[in-house]
Amino acid sequence: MRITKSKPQGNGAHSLAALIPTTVAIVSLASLILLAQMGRLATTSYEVQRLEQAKTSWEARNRQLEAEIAALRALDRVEALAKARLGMTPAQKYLFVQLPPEEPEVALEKGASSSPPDSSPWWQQLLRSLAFWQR
Amino acid sequence: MATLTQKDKPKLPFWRFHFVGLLLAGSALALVVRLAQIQVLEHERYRELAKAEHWSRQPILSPRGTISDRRGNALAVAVTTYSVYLDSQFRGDQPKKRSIAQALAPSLEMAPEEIMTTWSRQTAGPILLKKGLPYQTGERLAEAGYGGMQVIAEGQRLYPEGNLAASLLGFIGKDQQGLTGIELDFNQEMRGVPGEIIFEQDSLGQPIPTGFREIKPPIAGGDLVLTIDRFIQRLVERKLDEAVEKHQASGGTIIVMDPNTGEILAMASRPSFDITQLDLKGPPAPDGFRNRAVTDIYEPGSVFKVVTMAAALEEKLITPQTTFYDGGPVVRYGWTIDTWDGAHHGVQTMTELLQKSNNVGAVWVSDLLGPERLYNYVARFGFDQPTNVGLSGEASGQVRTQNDVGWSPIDLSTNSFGQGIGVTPLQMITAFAAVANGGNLMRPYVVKEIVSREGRRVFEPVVVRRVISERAAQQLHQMMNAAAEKGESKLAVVPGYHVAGKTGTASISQRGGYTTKNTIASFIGFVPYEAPRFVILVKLDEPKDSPWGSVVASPIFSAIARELLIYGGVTPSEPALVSPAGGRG
Repeated sequence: MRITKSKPQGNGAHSLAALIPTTVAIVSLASLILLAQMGRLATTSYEVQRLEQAKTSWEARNRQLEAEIAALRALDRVEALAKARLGMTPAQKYLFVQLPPEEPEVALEKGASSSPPDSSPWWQQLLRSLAFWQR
Repeated sequence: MATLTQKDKPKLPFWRFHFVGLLLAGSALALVVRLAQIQVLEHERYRELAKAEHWSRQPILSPRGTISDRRGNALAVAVTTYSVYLDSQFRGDQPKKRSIAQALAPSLEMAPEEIMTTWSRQTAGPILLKKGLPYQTGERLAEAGYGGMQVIAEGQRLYPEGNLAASLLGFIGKDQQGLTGIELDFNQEMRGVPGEIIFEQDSLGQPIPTGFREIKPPIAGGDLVLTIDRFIQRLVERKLDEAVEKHQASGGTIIVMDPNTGEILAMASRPSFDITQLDLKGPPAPDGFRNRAVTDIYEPGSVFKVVTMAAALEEKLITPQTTFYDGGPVVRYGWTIDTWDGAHHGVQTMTELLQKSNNVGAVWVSDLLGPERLYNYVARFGFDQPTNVGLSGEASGQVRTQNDVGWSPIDLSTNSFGQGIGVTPLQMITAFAAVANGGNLMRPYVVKEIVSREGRRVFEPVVVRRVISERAAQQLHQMMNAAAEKGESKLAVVPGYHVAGKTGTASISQRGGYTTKNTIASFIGFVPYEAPRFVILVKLDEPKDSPWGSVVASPIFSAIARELLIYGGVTPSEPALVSPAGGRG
């Protein structure tokens, strides 16, 4: 008895039939993704341009404001305001007040209040407190 | 009915086929040749044309650096403004133009009729309608995009302090490049580098969102911090304007310097120009644009006696107590030299010589020195070369020594009291600063810092050389103090403080001699005498009411010094003006 290997009938046709729609679906999906990405790219690009424009605009506005601040601080303007609004006049007589040099007690108090916390060991601190009569 | 057989069909002549064939082949060949010409031979040209059509470049302005004073107050700032242009070839009809004019009018603060009148001007190119529009207004108009109108962004300089330090700052041109003053001298540092956007555009000139796009960002110009103090500069300019008007002078210069560092705290000259309303075609151009404090030389007159004295003191030829005999005019090489007032005082000390500004005495000292030593000190004080302050157009002075052609021995005598020698106001104050600080010649400077993307560049004080010793400087201080407070320049005194200084009344040279009509009146001094903080030069050209430096320049010095000392928080020397804490004066 001779046994022959029989080929499955119609299997190739089935594979081909399945491959075509799958390919079409993949290509369609890829195209859709590409389109969507292109759309997003275009939107992002517009957004970048808008932001760049906004940045340039704000920088220019910033410079404008700095110029306005400088103009408001101008000596002539400050003087005119001081005279007109506050009724100030140029000083005719000057008096210099000489402050005395800082007194030693005040300096000591300041030094004591601002001295850093004692970081020496506890036994040294104890010994120091016991030796108060030596001061 | 007859029918045509194959044989009966008329035969077309063979040459016709050939003709059509040749015609087609010829056309094909011509097309191929033309294609080869376009695509191969003229490839680059068409590529550039296509590129120009397809690519667009949009410039981005680089903001010019700010100029501020030593305390950071802006003196010149850069802002972006817009200019509006109208298309002279606009094809819209009158009603269309009128509607555009009406839409533009509120933003431009112009009447529609005014816009229409400007638009009707017959010209080939675009018509400038308005410039200097604020940034936001310009942006709004650019977005609106009215037909026949174009808005262009431009850089503009604004001066928050108005016309302050105009001749020192200078100005820039339409191309944003410095033309005079510091704007020119530091143009490289302040101009910045413009950027650009390169992008692909569609047929309407709009950027293609998915196309190529590259941005080269602009590099902002560096900011300049000057040594100038706006308060002192304003004070000096006010006093100078008042003095020029009061004495009907043809001009003048005032400089304030820190003698210990060489920093110029204020520098003003007249005549000047209005930097805020610049008119390049107006009367001052181009004469009025120069900074006379560094470009103009003048004969300093008696203030130069300080240099003569410094040389003699340093050489130990004299002391403040050394005496000479002032018995009358002296004759040197056929020329008679007399005192400024014709008065003669017999035996006089060197201090009294300075107090009375005695020309006869100055000649006596110059005879002691001789040409070699005097001109050596003239050079050491820097009068034979520019100070290298860093400002363009600086003159080097005119000094003729015994080695120069045309020098005559009489020059030694006249030079000793500041005639026959040419110096700039900046050279003169720099020499006085050397005396004030104890003998070191400092290099004057006006720019303290340059702040740019690369970092901060700080300019430090530079000692050029030691000119005289501490001892000689101290002796000279005492003599100059006596000259200012007890001499003929008493109007220079500042209540509560001690000052040191010297007056000058210089004759003005003209062809063949000196004019007798006008003088240059000056005073140079420093305060406080004990520890000099400020050196002040006051110079008025051709005052009409009085020719004397002691009358014209000394009071200006006094007024400026008083304000400066209070502004600088300098405690008065006079105890009467000082009250203890909490006390009342």
